[in-house]
Amino acid sequence: MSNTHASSPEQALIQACCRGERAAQQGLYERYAPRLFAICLRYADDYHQAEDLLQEGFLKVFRHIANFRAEGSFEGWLRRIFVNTAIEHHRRRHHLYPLVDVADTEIELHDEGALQQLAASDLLDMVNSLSPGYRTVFNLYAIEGYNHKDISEMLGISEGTSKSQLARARVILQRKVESAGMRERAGGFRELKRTGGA
Amino acid sequence: MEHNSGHSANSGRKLDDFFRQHLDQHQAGAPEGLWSKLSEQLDQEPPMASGQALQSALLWRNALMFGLLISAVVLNYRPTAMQGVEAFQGLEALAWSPEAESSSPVQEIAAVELNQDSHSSYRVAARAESMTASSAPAQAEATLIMTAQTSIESEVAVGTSSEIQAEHVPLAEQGQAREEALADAPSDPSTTLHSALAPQEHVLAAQSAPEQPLFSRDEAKSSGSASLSRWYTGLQVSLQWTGLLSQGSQSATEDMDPMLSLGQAFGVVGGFRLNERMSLESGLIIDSRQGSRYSSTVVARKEEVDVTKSLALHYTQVPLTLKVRAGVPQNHSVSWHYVGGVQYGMLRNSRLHIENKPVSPERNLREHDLALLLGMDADIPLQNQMFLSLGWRASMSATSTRLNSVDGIERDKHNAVLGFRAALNGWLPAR
Repeated sequence: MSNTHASSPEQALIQACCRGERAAQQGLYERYAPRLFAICLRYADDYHQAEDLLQEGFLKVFRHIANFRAEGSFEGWLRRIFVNTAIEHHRRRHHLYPLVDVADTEIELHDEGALQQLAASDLLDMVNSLSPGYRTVFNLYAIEGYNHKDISEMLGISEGTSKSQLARARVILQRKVESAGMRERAGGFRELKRTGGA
Repeated sequence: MEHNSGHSANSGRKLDDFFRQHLDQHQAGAPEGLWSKLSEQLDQEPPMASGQALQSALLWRNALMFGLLISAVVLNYRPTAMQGVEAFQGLEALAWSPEAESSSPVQEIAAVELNQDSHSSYRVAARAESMTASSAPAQAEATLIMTAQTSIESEVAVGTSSEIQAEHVPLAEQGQAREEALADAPSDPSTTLHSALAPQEHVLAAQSAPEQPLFSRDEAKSSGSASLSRWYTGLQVSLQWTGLLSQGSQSATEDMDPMLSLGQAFGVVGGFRLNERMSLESGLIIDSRQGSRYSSTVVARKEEVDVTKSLALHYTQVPLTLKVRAGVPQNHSVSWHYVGGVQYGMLRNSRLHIENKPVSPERNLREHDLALLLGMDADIPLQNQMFLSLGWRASMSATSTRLNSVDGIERDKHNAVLGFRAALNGWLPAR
């Protein structure tokens, strides 16, 4: 761990967790659990599974926290652990991952302003409604920022499959966006579509 | 169409960005009571750091023991030829001691030992001298000795081994000096040099051969006509049991129970004989399949599932070992060797199967590996300048091979291999 972070409260918390101090572990849990539980909710099939992911993820964090090197942000390190935990769950539960390529489908984002009408919880519900394969690829690509090569290695699929699944996920999400909160703006969408989005 | 695709991709990115902006920093209330469960589970777990420290200590202890073993072998090693010279010099001192009686039992034994020792031409002179200490007719027979020495010196001059040459020339010179002294000595007609030299003829014949065979080199030479260099080369195959000694080596965040798996290796081998007892051996193991199987239990609220994973690692390896002969082999017999050294490995390919289904390639393993190597070989002489090496090798990666997995957790991994090996080798002809 670098000395540059040695004096930060976060670093002190990490060092105390390395020593196995329970109070420090609880402090770290309370500090990061809300953000990490949101990640679990994005990847999980349901709330209970998200709970399992959160529990399993924190167990891993406390087991391996001594291996953390302050080369990146601690929160980023935590996020990777939880994302990886979710992927492992996904691989276990979906051994027969759908490897069939899905044809790429064009999507049209007619009115960006309509998206702003949606709350984060609405968007989370939309993501959760995706099938596990689409949801995982969309989360990894769109939210976490992995590229298709990384995703293909993580999930054991081809890059083409990853791209196709992302495209399908986008189409489904767009439809949900349109049908969920944009009814009053539907006229605006159609107008924009007719004018070619200009 | 291309325009539409570009437009579609752009729209897709905007959708992605929108979801990311809203969900990336989204927070959700953690479930109540979860910390209590976590705390209970943490109470049941052993501290991780102490386990790693123990593993590291064990590794360094083994490495230290290995180093001490090799050092002890090397430092205590004295070539057999040198031992023979020292023994001969001791016998010589005894046989030629001016304080000793010429016919004392001790001197007799020394003379017999000298006679049996077939190490150099000087022994022939010493033997003759001991039996003709005061023999006047010996002067007439001195020519025979001269002839014998000349013969051996010529053997030495064209000898196949520089060691033999270095050892024999000074001894022959000493023998020459003693012979000149013998020419001036009084004679003893009771002993003849003919009788002394007669049994030496086979000894002289033996003198012309190199030292005790190493890796059947001399048997090979006797069966073939060409002179041989110190180099040999061959092909090798291994059947090996392999495992990865650290938990979590496939996936750093997963608790797994590693099990041994079966692998194999094949490649070419080459060696250089340093002296009569040691040789350096290297080679190129084209493909060495290692890896491990894992049984992992997934515990969740609703399920507990056992998952078996199989990780196969394919390395290209370059071993560098020192072979030290154990004991003194007899002609046409098996010679045993201790083997120790290091082995560099480059990971060429890896495959992971979960429940016998191929999944993502394992990209978290480090590409380069350095291992300590121990083993034994039994070298069996064959015809046509060849010999067969049968033995075993045990290796463990000495470097802390780091895993940098998707989750950012880095863990040590130690490849452990126990293999049974067969190599068919042949001596290369000398230039």
